[in-house]
Amino acid sequence: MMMTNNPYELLRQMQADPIGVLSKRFNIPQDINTPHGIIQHLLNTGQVSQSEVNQAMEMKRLIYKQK
Amino acid sequence: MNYPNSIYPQVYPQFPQQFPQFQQYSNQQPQQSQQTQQTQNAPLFQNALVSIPNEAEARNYPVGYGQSVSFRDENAPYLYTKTMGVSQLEPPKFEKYRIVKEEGSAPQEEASKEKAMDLSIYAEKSEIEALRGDFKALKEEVAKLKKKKREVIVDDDDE
Repeated sequence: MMMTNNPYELLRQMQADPIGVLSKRFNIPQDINTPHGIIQHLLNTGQVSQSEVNQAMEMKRLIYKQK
Repeated sequence: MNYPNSIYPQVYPQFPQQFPQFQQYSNQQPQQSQQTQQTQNAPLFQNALVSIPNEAEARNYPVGYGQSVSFRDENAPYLYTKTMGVSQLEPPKFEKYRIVKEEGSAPQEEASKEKAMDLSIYAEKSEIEALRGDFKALKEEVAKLKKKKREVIVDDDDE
């Protein structure tokens, strides 16, 4: 998949294959395709910090709790 | 024209004395805005216990290499810590702690124990002295009997 600077094309690609676009953006190997695996990969490669993961998980928990 | 900077104290020198409450507000305002700014800049979830619904969630929680995260179980009185090694070769270390609520503080407990002490199990000094006298008398009696017994044995041997 070719990454593009055209916003409309980027949006179309994102709608068509969101995991593919994000994997390309964050250099995630294709064999990692679960949310847990992706987070672990981002942590291991230092692309996100532990506090950012904690924050995201807490936000997810609160959103699901409200629902 | 050159206006002096301190024109207000000259024109209204009585202002701060007459209205101390305004002076108080004018001093407080910068502190409040500074506090608000600090609160906004502080990370919300850093160094806090991560709330999780069960132990399995804590075990599967993503933790980076060389990092440690503490969890609080929402449905049970447990705390968990998950510590990852610095490399993939080291297995993650998972620990489970049970929360035990203490009833009251320790010094109060000791004080109440002292109050509730049963004094009937203790004897007075005069009673101890009397018992000591009786024990000494018995000891002397036993010594006398032993002596008599020895004399009898010696007499039997002579015969």
